[in-house]
Amino acid sequence: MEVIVLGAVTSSVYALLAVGFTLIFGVARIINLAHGAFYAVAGYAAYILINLGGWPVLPAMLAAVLITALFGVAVDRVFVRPLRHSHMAVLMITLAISMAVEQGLTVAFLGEARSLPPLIDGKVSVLGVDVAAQRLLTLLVSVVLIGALWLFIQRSRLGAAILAISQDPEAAEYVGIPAERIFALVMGLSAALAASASVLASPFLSVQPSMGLLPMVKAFCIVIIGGLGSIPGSILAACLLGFTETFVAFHISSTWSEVISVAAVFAMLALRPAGLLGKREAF
Amino acid sequence: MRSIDFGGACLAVAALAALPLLNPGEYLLGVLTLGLIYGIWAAGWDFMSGLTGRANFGYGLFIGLGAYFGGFANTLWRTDPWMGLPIGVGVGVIAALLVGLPTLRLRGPYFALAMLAASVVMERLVLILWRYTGGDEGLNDLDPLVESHVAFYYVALAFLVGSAAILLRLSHSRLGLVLRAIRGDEAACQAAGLDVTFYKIGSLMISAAFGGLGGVLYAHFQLQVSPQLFSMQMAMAIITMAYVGGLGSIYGPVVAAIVLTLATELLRPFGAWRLLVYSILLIIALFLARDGLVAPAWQALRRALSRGRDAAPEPLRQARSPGTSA
Amino acid sequence: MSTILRAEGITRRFGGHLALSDVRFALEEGTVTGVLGPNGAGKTTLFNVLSGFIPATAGTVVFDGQVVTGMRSDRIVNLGLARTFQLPRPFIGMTALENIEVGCLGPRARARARQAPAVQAAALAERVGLAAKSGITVANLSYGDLRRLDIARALASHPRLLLLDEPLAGLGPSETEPLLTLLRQLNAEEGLAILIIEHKLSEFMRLVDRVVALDYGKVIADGTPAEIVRDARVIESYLGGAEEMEAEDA
Repeated sequence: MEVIVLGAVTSSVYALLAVGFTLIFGVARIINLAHGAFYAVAGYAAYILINLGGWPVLPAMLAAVLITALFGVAVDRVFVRPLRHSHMAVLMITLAISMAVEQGLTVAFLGEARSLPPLIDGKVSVLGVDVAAQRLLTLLVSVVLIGALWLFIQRSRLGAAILAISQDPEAAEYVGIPAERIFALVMGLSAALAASASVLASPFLSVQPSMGLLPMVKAFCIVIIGGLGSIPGSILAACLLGFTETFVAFHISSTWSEVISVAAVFAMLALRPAGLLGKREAF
Repeated sequence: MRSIDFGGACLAVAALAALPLLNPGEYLLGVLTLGLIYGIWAAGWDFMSGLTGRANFGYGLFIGLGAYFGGFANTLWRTDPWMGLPIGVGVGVIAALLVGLPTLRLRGPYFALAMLAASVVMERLVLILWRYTGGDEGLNDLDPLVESHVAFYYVALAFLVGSAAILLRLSHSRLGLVLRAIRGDEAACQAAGLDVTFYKIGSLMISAAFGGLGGVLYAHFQLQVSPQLFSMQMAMAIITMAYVGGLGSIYGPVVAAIVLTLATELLRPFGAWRLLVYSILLIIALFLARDGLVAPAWQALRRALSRGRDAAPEPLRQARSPGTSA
Repeated sequence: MSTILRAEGITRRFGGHLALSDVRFALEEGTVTGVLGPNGAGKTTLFNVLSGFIPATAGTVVFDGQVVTGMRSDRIVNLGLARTFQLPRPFIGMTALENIEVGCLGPRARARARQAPAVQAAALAERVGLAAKSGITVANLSYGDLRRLDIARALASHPRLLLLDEPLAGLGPSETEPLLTLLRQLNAEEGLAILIIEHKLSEFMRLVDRVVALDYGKVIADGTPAEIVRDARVIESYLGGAEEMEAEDA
């Protein structure tokens, strides 16, 4: 029972991260290696506002998400846009940014782990299991956010433009959809999702400069397993990985979780490179 | 025209060979030696990623595996340190084959993502298997390859010169031509009847061989192996050297590696600052010096030199210098 | 004469769109065959399937007695089936000669060559009329030169069948004639079979022995040029519109 509840919480955090990562790939065809940096930026922004700025927890976390979204837009506008013609250059610039952020945070905060206070304290009993309320909140908010994203893409005009670009960028440009603006918007959205994952999970994990790296590697794994660019695929793979990991953590040891996900990626690439729900041939 | 290249190379090697005669002191000599080892890595990275344009973020995988297996051979099985060198090369090549087979037959970002993930996970794995790998402490008390620091400097210099010569030779051979064609257009290569996957995996294996070789040299230089060899920061430093040197030129990254190692060593006490400098340098290179600094500088210099000797330009050789597209 | 290529019911689907539907035809050795059809008829998709660049949804391609469907595209080239692209695809940053040399490095080219790849590449440059420009980087070549470069690179593999996707598109009259002469020569002297897509109809009809007409991914006619221009379905689907095109050209 515990495996199911905690597995669902883990899955939801992974899904938030992976959906943002796959969204920016699906729309702008960018592998954003700064995705982990977004995660870290949000954690530190919340930390600074709460501990140094004395803000209450909820506004601080919302502000952290907003700051990260703006950071994402800035990264796209300033760094990615001029290099968009070369895949390798985009990979390099996003990696360089992620390293610069990590090292910058290390310099500023001396690399020590910090912690964030939870939004809500206490424990709740679900299905006969005692779960920290923060974890349950994480699950709930994640589901709501992903649902909202889904509705936004399917129902709104902006969402329709995003879909159009992801399916046929040239045709979209032809009918007058401003591709660059959409790319920046999607980068912001993607950063906001990573930031939400960060502020929700940091209270029961911790805040440190390299905090983004492992979650980002997991996001890669999830996205490859689910199929690059496929949002439902990412959600499915996030659940698969989240539950498997929790199961392994309960029965063997939690340290093996990254190893399992990477092994799964290599198996997937060898057997079915398109991923579980991927149809599209990668660029 | 070639004689200018050869002359320049001889001059550079002679200068490096003469350096210990100036009695620079053990510390500076050590930093220089480290620069030479980074030179082997930067050239090895450049051979695959610079020529074919496939970003490799997990070069630390080959370095770390080479160093650890060289270290195991020396500390566990008590083999001669020199025996570690072929072991490191072999381990690197095998790892390249294993990672390359599933990922390089695919087009798209899979190789870049998988290499990054593989090196991150290998770093974790080393910590998880601390019983065998020494965890954070790593492997210690390795035997030195040669006794004196000066002798080690010359050993590293010899390996760097040999590695760079082999890689330069290969990059100007038919293999190099095919690899540059792959960077240009994979589909057109297939239409020319070339097995693109074979060439990509082959070039990764060659690249990895030098990663492994440098790893073992590094292990017997520091007399210690640590999990940081697998880290992204390691790969990042090497990538920056290759970009600053000029992608696909081999000699540019070598020069950049030596210069940057020396320059950033001044920042060593500040740890994180050093890596911050590398990230910022890479960002600057991407925006302002797409072809790097070293290779274009040398091209300009040799043009000036050859104009002095005879006026006839040689368009063919120039065309073989690295292109602008990455 | 024997059959060099047989398409047996090739079907290719892109999502809900049927780009090719049960396409069947056979090519005789040493002949020049044209593929005719309006834009979007599936001609380039057909080439991509025949050369292994995209897999067929159903059907088989038999080349020289061997099933090549599902085979890697470079393997197909090395069996003797080469292609060019609708838009020339040179290797940027290399000279014309180096571009051709890359084509000389494939296994089939190596096995059949009597000279070193560089020498062979120079001979091919000569053959397609690029000898004077062989040291120039491709960025400085004209569109017509790039087309000839693409053809030279394809010829390097000693093909028995060459698929040409609109080789005359974008060429001026002064470039068109030499290229047509070259294609006729290759066909007559070396017995090279050619399958060609081309929208310049008068040149096209003079070059080909036979025409396969496609529309909406289906073969609608198959015969000599004289038969094709009289075929009611071909006129309806294509030639009517093509007259306007010809008029624009003139």
